[in-house]
Amino acid sequence: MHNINPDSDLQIRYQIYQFFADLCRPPSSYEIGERFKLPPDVVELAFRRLHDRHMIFLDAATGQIRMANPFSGVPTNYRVRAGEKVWWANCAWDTLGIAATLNLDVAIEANHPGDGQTLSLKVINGEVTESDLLVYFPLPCQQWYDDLVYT
Amino acid sequence: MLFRSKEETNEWCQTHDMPEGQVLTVGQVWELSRLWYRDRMLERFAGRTVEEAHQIFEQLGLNTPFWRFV
Repeated sequence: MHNINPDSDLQIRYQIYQFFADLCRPPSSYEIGERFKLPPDVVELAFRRLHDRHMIFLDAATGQIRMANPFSGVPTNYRVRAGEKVWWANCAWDTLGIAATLNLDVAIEANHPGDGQTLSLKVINGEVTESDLLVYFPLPCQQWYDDLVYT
Repeated sequence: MLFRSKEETNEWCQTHDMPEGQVLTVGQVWELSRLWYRDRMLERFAGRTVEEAHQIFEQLGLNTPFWRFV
């Protein structure tokens, strides 16, 4: 029997973020299990508790990690590049969130929701270019977690 | 979503029957990101309370009901 306490959940959360930072994708429950010497079903229970605390977001169909904000586990209209690494962000805010999370200079590309053109900006030495572009937040905070993919 | 102008944002919202929501500049969202995400890679990060989230918004002048979780 593997007992996971809240501190262990936070260690798993940290490893999830390390995984995203290093490999630009979420880890599976198997991969986290290998690091902690835990079976996947025990890791999946920890994933679920972290999901319930809004610390990660699981895919409803697979139970695997869909988001660990600002990182997205699936391709989106928002890309963040640093050197050879490219991360998917969940939304326009999260593109800048990845730069802040990783404390990196990055190049950001987002598909315009109307005409589909690529909008580009950068974060360099802690400053953002194209700072007059606009980010649209459709929903108030109270509704963010009703449907996080839509948000 | 990222737009070039407020007019463009309004037009898109009307076309797609989306709520007015809130629009911030990329500069504002960068400042928000630096406060919101600065501790995400720390091992000890354990989430934040609603009050802590509100404090972050308020530091940036985002103190309307839109930016309140409760």
